[in-house]
Amino acid sequence: MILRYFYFPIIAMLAILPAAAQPREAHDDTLSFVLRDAVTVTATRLPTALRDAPAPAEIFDARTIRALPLRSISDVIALSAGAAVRDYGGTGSLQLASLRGLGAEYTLVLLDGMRLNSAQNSLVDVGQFTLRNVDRVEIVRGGLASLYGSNALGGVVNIVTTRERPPLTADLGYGAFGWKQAALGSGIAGRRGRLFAEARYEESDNDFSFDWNGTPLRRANSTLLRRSITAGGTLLLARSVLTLHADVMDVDMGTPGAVFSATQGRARQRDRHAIVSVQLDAQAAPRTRLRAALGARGGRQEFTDPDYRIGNTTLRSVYDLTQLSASTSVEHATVSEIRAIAGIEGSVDRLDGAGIAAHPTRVQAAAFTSTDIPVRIRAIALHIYPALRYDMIHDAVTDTEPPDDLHALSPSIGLHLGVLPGRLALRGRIARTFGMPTFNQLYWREGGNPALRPEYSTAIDAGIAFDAGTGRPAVELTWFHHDISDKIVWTPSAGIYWTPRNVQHVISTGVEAQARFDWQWLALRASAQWMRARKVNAAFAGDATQDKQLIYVPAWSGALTLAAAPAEWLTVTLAARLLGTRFYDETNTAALPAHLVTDLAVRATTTLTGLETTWKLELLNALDAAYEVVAFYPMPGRHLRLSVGTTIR
Amino acid sequence: MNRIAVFILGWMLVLTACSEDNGTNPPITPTGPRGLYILNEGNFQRGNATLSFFIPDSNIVYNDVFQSVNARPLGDVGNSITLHDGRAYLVINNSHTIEVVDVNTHVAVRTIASPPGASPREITFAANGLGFISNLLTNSVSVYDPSTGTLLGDIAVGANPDGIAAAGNGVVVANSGFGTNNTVTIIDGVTRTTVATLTVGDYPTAVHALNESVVAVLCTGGYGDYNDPNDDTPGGLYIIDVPSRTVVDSLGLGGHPTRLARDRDGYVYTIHSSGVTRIHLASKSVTRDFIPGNFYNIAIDPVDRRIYLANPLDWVQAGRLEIHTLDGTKIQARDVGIIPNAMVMTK
Repeated sequence: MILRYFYFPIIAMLAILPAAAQPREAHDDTLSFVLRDAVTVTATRLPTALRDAPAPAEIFDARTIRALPLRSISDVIALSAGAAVRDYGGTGSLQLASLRGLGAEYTLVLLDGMRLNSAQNSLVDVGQFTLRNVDRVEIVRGGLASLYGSNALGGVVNIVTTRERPPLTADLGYGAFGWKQAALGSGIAGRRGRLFAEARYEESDNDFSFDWNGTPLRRANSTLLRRSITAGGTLLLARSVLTLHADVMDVDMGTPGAVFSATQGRARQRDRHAIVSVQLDAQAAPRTRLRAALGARGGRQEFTDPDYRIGNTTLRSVYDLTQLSASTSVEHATVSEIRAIAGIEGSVDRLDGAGIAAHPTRVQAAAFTSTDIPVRIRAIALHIYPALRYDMIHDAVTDTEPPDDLHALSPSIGLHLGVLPGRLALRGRIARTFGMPTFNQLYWREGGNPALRPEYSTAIDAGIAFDAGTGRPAVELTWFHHDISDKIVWTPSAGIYWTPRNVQHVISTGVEAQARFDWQWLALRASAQWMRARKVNAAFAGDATQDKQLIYVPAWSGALTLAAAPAEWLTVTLAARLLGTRFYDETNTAALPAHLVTDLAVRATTTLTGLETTWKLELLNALDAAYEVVAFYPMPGRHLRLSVGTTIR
Repeated sequence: MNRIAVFILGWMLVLTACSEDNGTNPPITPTGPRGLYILNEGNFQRGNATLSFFIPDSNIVYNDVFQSVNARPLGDVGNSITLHDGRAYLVINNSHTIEVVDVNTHVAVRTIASPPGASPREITFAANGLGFISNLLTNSVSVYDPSTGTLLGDIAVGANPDGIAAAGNGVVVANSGFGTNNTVTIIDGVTRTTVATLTVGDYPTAVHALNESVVAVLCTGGYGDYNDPNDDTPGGLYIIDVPSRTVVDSLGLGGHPTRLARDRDGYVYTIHSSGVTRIHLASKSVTRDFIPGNFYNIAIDPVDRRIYLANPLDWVQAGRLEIHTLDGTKIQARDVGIIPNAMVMTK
């Protein structure tokens, strides 16, 4: 029925478009996933060519993101090798990204370099971040505590926002399951800089149908209402650039939970937050740059469940989180092309909520340095990337004994060996990383454990990259090994609540493969990974969970993106994600079957007297796969979305 | 069934089991020997509650019986089992259902759907045949008519009702309040109305009928501020005469006991964090750590004079059924499902 409903406007649109199509600017008409000249600032904290990075890194730029059938940052991450997203049910549902099977709390998510993993639980709902403000998404895998401190045990996702907007943009979106979206933005640009502002509105019923034990059901209590305003700008000064980004978001959504009965629950969550960041980038001397950043984040999370009552009181939990951060760094390049960055960072995180005891405030101070030492041995170009970071973390608490301050030293060293410069390279990296226990783990009123220790990990990468040149394939192969000791898991205690303890030893080992190929107006990108992530210690003799795959970590997974730009005004893209069999119990007896989800998008642009109109039609889950990413959380079947955007340039 | 027949059947099952070479469960034979149902709770939100069946005479454990016989999973969080009229009522808490199983064939004959969000915990049957289901999150007791298979309505009780048991036509409900309450509600099973609310100790969780007019109520004791052991209140046992609606006796147990079972020798049993506690009702003598260990639930087979203990191991993987004699001597331990919980002899 929904599909039929869409046929007419689609056919009408396709009929009209060719006649109205106009050529676009030459620089914006070719899709490429190869990005041979792309630069990552996340892999070393120094601007580094992707091809020279010591750690496996990927960049998805704005143009690629706009063309592909992607709904949020989570969809971008899911295309990356070694990444998996735990999706609890489509639009608006919780979506947690993990790299290398190590869990969402071990994936550090940055917004313009600012840490988003909260001190409360270290988790980031990557489904809540719009793609409209994204300039690029950088995903770097491996232990990166030597650059970013806590949480980066599996890798880092850095969302870099754009500050550039046309004078006026208006977008409307309409799709299945009650999805509607509207956005209005405006930007001005002058000799001294740019300013922009955008307001967005999105709602969805997300009431897709699914099969439940042979009974057709419709997802209930899964509505989403998301409103946000983003503003920012760039001020060009004599020898420096000052940038500002502010984001205010209010999300109200149902959290229907796992499906064990036809009623699906009535719990709801409302998240409100504001983020402001200011960055200064100054050219202090011809070879020296200064950077400084200030960030502030405040938010309230509110969860209510009318079906969960203690006595006559309905469950309503409210948490207020405040985060302040500051950093400054100096980047210098010597005449012998050695580049180094050194800096200091500080942050304060505070959490208030009835479920958390002691009103914790976390004060963190860090100093870091990272260096790129190029060495040329005849035709072989060797880059050595040593890095070192010191973190001090102090929790100020009330009414209880504070845990010991953490003093963590996180070293790493990476190598990149250009055996055939520009063609064949070997790279490797070894790093020591750590994860600080969260407020929930330490101070949860009913079961927190203030005696928890940090989790430590050793991460090793070794890879080979081959690039046959323009118009030819490029492939990368990476082996990795992460060894986490003292991993924190929730265990039963003497009372009625569980409590976290440092009791697990986890090793994750695997191989990631990536291939990229550009040919004329076609661009192909494929990734595959094999991974064995397991608990290696035995809690007791005969522990049946020993050496078993961690839950929800597939042994095999992969992704494919294919983009075609047969005309300057038209792109057709496909994104397919394959997730292999995943166990959802620790003894590996219950498993979710492998699934393949294929999304398609057609994007067409017309320009008429300065008015640029973009149509994007997305057919999501085109093969109508019935699947669950998380057990008992059904996912939507095949559905359509249509977006129309108008821009005045 | 006479014991010889059970013995023969048991050996048939053993031989069948031995013929299996793939390590999986032997097939279930629908002949209904006397055995122990073990409702394995499963991991929360993983939908992996299972039913195990242990036949003492053949010494065989059949795991995942419900799935094997009915070709569908049991649901999420198996909480309790009650026998009534040849059927086992398996309360599946987070699926908000009660599966009614024929104890001879293990075939599910009915699924009772609790009211939305009810979170059923236990079911008991009054002398008039009606079932009464405690609904943890709706502060109510649902009335079930087994003759029609329908719910007749809800009765409002105290906060977060948990354990429930009938003595004659008097139904006693433990209003747990998740530790914030200290009352039990008595329901007249005939008029289906509440007739009394009695004060007992903090955090009443379990109710066990001692005879047709007397029940024992176990109070776990309050935790107060969970991180402050100094403000805890101790657990205790309360004896209630249901017809007179009176607390007739009580006994402090200390700590935070859970679960309640009894034998025919005048003892009741409960579980503390360090093991099984045995209480002689007449003398009020309490033996802590009568059987030391980490146990989640307990059942007594008065016929074979066995104590069955559910050991959840690490609460993640398949747990163990420990079998002891009534004097506490351990006989054996068998692998069952994940987080073995409620147990009951089928006959």
